[in-house]
Amino acid sequence: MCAADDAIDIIHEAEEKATKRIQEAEIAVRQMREQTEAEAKRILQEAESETKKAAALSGSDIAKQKEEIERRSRRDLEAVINGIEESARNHRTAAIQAVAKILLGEK
Amino acid sequence: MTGVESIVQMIEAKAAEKVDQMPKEAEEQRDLQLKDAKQKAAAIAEDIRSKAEKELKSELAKHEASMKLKAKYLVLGTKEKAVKDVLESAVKVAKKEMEGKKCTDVLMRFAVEGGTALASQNLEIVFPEKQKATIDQSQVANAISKNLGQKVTVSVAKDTVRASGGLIVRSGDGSKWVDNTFEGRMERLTSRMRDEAARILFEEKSE
Repeated sequence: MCAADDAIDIIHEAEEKATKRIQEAEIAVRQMREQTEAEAKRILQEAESETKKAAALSGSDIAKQKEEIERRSRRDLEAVINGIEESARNHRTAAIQAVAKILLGEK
Repeated sequence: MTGVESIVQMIEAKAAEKVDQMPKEAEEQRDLQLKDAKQKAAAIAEDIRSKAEKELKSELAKHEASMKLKAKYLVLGTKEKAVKDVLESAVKVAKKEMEGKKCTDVLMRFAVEGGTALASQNLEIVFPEKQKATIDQSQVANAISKNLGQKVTVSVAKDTVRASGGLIVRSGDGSKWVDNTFEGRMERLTSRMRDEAARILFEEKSE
């Protein structure tokens, strides 16, 4: 009877040790899982934050691009208006005569 | 080995196996989770970049369209100024010609053109109060008769019209008329005169 009790105690002790090892391993796994979740969250937040910063930085360049558009537009417009004014100067007399003829019923 | 030792060994072996297996599974799970997070991060970054680029392009396109519109208005304003100058100068030229030798010819033309358009047998011509030149009524009647292929009579009305030059031709009963006064023609022909001025001023260059 005494030998049997000893055997049960030994088995029980072994089971307790095993349970403890498993619990320790579970704690380690849980910690790993928590760390992983935190790292995944950090990866997502960093990606969002860094990309937003980069996008804002490229957006700040918009003023320069707008200025370039305005400069190009002014240059093109100046050329067009010069052309119009030159053409108008060159044909002014002919146009006046033609319109006067319409008014006088000659055309 | 005793039975107890064997049982203890089995318990330890099972625990060891489980303890050994748990981190491996956790590492596999961690790798998968981090891989997934990186993929999501790349997608988020791409989405933000794409939206930012789209907004940037849209804003620049709007700005460019706005500049083009402003340029268009300025071009139209420049053309309008030149056309207006031509119309004003043409009116002065025409009025000056009406004071010279051409006056009778012009009035004759106005009368014949108006009378032919009315196609009425009896016609009256109404002059402005201050119209100096007169026209030969029979000459006008003959020209209109010839155009219409029927006999037409023309007389000068006693009443006058308020205008700077030209004349009005009206049917004998006063029901129809053609306003060939200067002001009437200007109003009627403005669109044609503007088109002609613009055509000559701006399109001849490309010819």
